[in-house]
Amino acid sequence: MSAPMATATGGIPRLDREDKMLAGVCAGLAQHFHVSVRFVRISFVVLTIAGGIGIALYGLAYVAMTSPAAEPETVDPTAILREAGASWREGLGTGLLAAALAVAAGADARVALPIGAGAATTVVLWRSGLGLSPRGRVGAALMILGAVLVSSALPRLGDLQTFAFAVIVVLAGSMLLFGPWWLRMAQALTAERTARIRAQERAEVAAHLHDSVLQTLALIQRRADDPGDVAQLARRQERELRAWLNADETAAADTLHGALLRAATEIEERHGVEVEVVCVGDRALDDDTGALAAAAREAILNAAKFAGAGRIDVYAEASEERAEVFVRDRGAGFDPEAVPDDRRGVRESIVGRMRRHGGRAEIRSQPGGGTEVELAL
Amino acid sequence: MRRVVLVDDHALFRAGVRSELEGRVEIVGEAGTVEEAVALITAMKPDVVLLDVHMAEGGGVEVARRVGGDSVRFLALSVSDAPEDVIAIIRAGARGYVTKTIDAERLADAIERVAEGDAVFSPKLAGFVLDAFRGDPTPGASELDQLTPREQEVLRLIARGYLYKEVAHQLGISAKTVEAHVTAVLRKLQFTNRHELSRWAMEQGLD
Repeated sequence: MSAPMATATGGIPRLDREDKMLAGVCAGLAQHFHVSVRFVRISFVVLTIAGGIGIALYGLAYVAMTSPAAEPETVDPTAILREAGASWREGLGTGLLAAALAVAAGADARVALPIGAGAATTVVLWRSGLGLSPRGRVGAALMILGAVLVSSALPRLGDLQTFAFAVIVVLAGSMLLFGPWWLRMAQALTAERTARIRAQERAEVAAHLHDSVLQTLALIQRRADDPGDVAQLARRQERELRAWLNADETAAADTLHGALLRAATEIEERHGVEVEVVCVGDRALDDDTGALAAAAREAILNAAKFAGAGRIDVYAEASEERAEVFVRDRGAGFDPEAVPDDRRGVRESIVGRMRRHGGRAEIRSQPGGGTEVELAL
Repeated sequence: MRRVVLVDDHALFRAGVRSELEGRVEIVGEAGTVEEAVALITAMKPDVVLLDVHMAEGGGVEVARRVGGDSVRFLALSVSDAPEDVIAIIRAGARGYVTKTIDAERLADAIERVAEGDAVFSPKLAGFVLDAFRGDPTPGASELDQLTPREQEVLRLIARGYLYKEVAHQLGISAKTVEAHVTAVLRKLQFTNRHELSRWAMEQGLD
């Protein structure tokens, strides 16, 4: 019993439906305890031949591996122990009574003993609530059958006076008395662990909301007189919360989409404009896509600084063969033919950069009509 | 002025939208639950229903399903731009989808568009659709499972931030034709069997 006891809190083994002979009990046990499935099967067979205990053990394992975990509300280890004690007293009493009745009715020990053992096992199983599900009934029936077989073999084995005799009696007895309750306890502990994990998750959510949303709300209240600041705070918080809720790792990814999102967030925060990134497909960052992302960032920055528009649309489409980024604003616009000198450098970092990486850049703009920068690899 | 019903479980948000849309549309009623919404819409017969996606007891999807997308025009308004939310409400009959950060002018424009029977695609939604329809359809797929080259061009321009009239100008077609393309795409979104879209729709149904 020591091995299953030790792992009770580490989870209950499950049936192995793939590699099964009967129900998958042996394969499941073998997998759970990392032993050979052949060893487990031979053990069950030997234990079955040696007086039937294998059958009872198989029944217990079957119920243990199929019954669902108890609801967290029912968790109370002390109550389970109390119930177990009561069930043992009642089981022993009922078993003795049944055996005594059988003897009184003229049966000899060969019959009376199995009757007593069967009755005692039935009471213990009944009280432990194992027979409530269809599968539980199958397992319970196997265990009662095992108890009857072991006890009917006792008189024969008794003649032999072997060491095996004592071992089997102790094994069978303790398994039938403790098995069902061990199972209840293991389920209760699993349920309790689940509840604990849930509570932990809740605490994490609360902590996160406290550090992020509540802080931002406090900041917003203090800056209520500056609509620009408030909008920016709210937008940054929204972005952050959304990424956290969706466990969105795109923004952290080493891809074109990730790089564009990072640039958008950074520029949004620094210049107080809204940058909407839409990306179809994606591609890993390398020398070329890295240059594309850098040129796109430059274009977004330009729009944020000079266009005076509240919103910038960034659209990217990427596959292994090609990658394109469009940066569009509806701001002031300018005449591309008459670019002032101080902005030549910026254009160089867009057009020149794309050219060096075998791509192209096109800037379409007219005064009053907004600007669109098209970048392609 | 267009007659609009506002459905959202946050009273504060309803108040905000109401004051933003003041003078642009006529808000004829507000509802905060699915039950209220269904009763109100059936009684008022508004031109457009602004519908929140996330509410108790099934949310906007349930409202659209029970009222039926044929008799009333729905515009979904949501804080979420998760693809499964978008697809679920479109499949329930909404003719458009915008996020709650939209400004008043764009929202009024979207309401007008939906009232006239057109579809409203935000750049984000256009991006989703392009993404979902990428790659070759499975063999034996119907025409609902793929976009025509023209539809792709239109969606790409919308994703780039172009307004419908700018799309029309760029492609040298009329604004009506652009609307027809977008409406066709909306139909495909509702009826396609493309794997990603069915999966999103299903995930929502299992909630």
